[in-house]
Amino acid sequence: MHLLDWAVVVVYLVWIVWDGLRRSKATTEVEGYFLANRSLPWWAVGLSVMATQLSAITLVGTTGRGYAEGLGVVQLYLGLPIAMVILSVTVVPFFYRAKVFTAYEYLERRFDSKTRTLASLLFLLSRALSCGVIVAAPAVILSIVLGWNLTLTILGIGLPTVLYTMVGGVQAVTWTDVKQMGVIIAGVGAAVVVLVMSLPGHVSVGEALHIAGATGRMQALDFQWDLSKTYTFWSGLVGGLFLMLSYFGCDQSQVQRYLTAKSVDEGRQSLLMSAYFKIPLQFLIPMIGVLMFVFYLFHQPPLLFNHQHDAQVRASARGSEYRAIEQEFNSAYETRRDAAEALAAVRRAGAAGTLGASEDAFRDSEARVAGLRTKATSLVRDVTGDQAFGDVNYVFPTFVTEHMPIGLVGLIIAAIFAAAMSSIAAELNALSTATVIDFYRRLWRTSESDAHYLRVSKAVTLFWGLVACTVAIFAANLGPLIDVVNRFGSFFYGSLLGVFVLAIGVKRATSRGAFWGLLAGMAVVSFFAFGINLSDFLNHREEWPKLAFALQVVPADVLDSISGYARAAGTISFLWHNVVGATVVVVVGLLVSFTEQPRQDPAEAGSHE
Amino acid sequence: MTRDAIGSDSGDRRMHRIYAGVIAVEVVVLLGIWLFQRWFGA
Repeated sequence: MHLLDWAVVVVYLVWIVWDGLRRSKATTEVEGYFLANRSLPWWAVGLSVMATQLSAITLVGTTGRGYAEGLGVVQLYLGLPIAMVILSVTVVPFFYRAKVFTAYEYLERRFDSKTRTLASLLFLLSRALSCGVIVAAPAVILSIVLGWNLTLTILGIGLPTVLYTMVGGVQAVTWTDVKQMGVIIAGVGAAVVVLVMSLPGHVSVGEALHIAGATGRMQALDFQWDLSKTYTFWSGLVGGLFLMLSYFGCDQSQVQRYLTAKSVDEGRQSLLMSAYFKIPLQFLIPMIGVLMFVFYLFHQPPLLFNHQHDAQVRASARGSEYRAIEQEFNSAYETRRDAAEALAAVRRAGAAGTLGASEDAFRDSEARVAGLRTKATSLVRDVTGDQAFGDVNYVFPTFVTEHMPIGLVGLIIAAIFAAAMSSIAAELNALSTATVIDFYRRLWRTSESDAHYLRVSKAVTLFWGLVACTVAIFAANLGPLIDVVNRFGSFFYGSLLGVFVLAIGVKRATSRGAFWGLLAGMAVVSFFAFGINLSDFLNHREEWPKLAFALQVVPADVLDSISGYARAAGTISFLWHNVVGATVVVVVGLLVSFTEQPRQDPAEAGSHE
Repeated sequence: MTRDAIGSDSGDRRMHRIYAGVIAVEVVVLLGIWLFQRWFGA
C-alpha cells in the first residue's frame, strides 16, 4: 500500500477516535451514556441505524457475491420498508413511551423477570460472539490481501472502536456512525466511478451491463417459488420482512438507536430513512461486483484472488495439478475476452440475427472459466483443509489494491474499517446497556448512585470490547465456527420476534406462554437450521457406538423418518427460519396461555402512560 | 391498553402520509429494478 493510502487510513482513524472521544463531555449520567438523554435528531439516528446494519461483511461479501452471482442479493432487503412501517406504528411508540433502556426491560413489565432474563441473555450471548465475527471477517481478508499481521489488524479495528465507545457512549457511537456512513458512501461511489472509467474505450456502460446480463448477473428479482433458494422475491419479501422486524424491533443494538431520538416521530423517521435508502444502497453494492465481473472480462484475473491460498497450493504436492488448471484458465480467459468483445461488437452493430449465437458463445466461455475456478477452489479446500473457503470474499479487496488509484485505495480500506467499526460500536454499546440495565442494576447492585452505574457501564463496555477482540482472534482461525455463530443469531431472532408479538399484540398471552413459546420456537428453528447435520448423524448412527444404546430405545423406522423430515427441513433457506420461529412462538405461547386463568389486570403490566 | 396506545399513535395523519409514501416508493423502486433487469437481458 502506498504511503498516501496509509495516510488516508491513519487520518480516518484519528478523526473518528477524536470525534468519538470529544462526545464524552455530553455523557455525565447513565441516561446520557446509553440514550443521549433522548436528544438526537432523526437524520443522525437514521444514518446510525444504516451504519450499524451495514457491516464490513456486507461490503466485502456482497460485492464478491455480486461478482460471482449478480444482483440477486438485493432481494434480502425487499421486506425492509414494510418492516419499518410496521415497527414505526407498533414498537417505536411503545418502547419510547415506556421509557425503557432495553427492549427486554419491557418484557418484564409485560410478562415476568424470567422472560426478560432469557431474552437479554440470548442477546448477550449471540451478540458477543457475532461482534467477534464482525471484526474477524474483514480482518482475515485485509490481512491476506494486504499482507498485514492478522492479530494487529483485529486490534487495529477493535481497539479504537472500544476506546471511543467506552468513553463517549451512545453519543460517540451515533455521531461517528454519521461520519462513517459518509466514508462508506464515498468509498462505494469511488469504486463505481473507477470501475466505469476502467471499461475499455470501445465498450459503453450499457454494453457492459448487457454482457453481464447474458450470464444472468443482472437478474435482481427472481420470482421462482423455491424455499431452498436463499434469495428469491418471496423469501426476501416474507422471510426478509420477518428478519427485519426481528432485527430492528427486538435487537437491542438497533432498538437503542431509535430510543435516542428526540421524540416518537423522530424515532419513526430515523427508521423510515432506511426504508427509503436501503434498497438503492444494497442495489449499488452488488452492482460493484457486477462491474468487477465486467472489468475482469477485459483484464486478466488471477485464478484465485486469495494470494495466500494460491501460494500454499502451488507449494503443495498438488502444485503441478494447480498449475495445469491455471494454464487452462489463462486460455479460457482469452476465449472469454474474445467472446465478450464479439458480443459487444454485435450489440453495437445492432445485428439482432447473430446476437443469440454471440450470447451463447460468451455464456459457454464464461461457464468454462467459472468451472476452472470451482476446480481450483476445491483443490484449495483439499490441500488446506479449509472447507469453508470461498474465494469471492477476496475479489473486491484484491481489485482495490491492484487496480484502484493511489489515495482511493486508502479511502476504500477506510470504508471497510468504517463499516466494521460502526457495527461493532453499536453492538458494544448495546451489550453494555443490556448487561448493566438488565442484570447489574436489577440483580446485583440495585440502589447505587448514577455516577457508580456510569463507571460500571464504561468498564462493561471495555470488557465486551476485549471479549469481542479475543473472540475475533480465535474465530479467525476456526473457519467453519463463524458459520455456526451466524446461524445461532438466525434461530434466536425469529423466536424473539414471536415473544414481542405476544407481548405487544396479544392481551391474553401470559408469561408462562411467552417463556415456553420462546423455548419451543428456538428448538424448532434449531431443527431447521441443523436439519442436514441431524439427518447425516442419524443416517450414520452406527459410527457413534456410545450413543447406540440410547438410540436403540427408538425404533429404527422412526429414526429414519426423523432423518427424512430433518433433511427436508434443512434444505429450507435461513430467511424462512425467522417466519418459522415467530409462528411457533406465537402458536405455542397462545396454547400455553389458554391453559391458564386470564390475569386480573393484564393492561397494567404494559402501561406506560 | 396496548392496542389503544397503538391506535392513538397510528391516527397521526402526517405519519400515515409518510407510511403511504414509503410503500409507494418501494413499489416504484421494485418496478424500476424489474425494468432494469428486463432491459439488460436477465
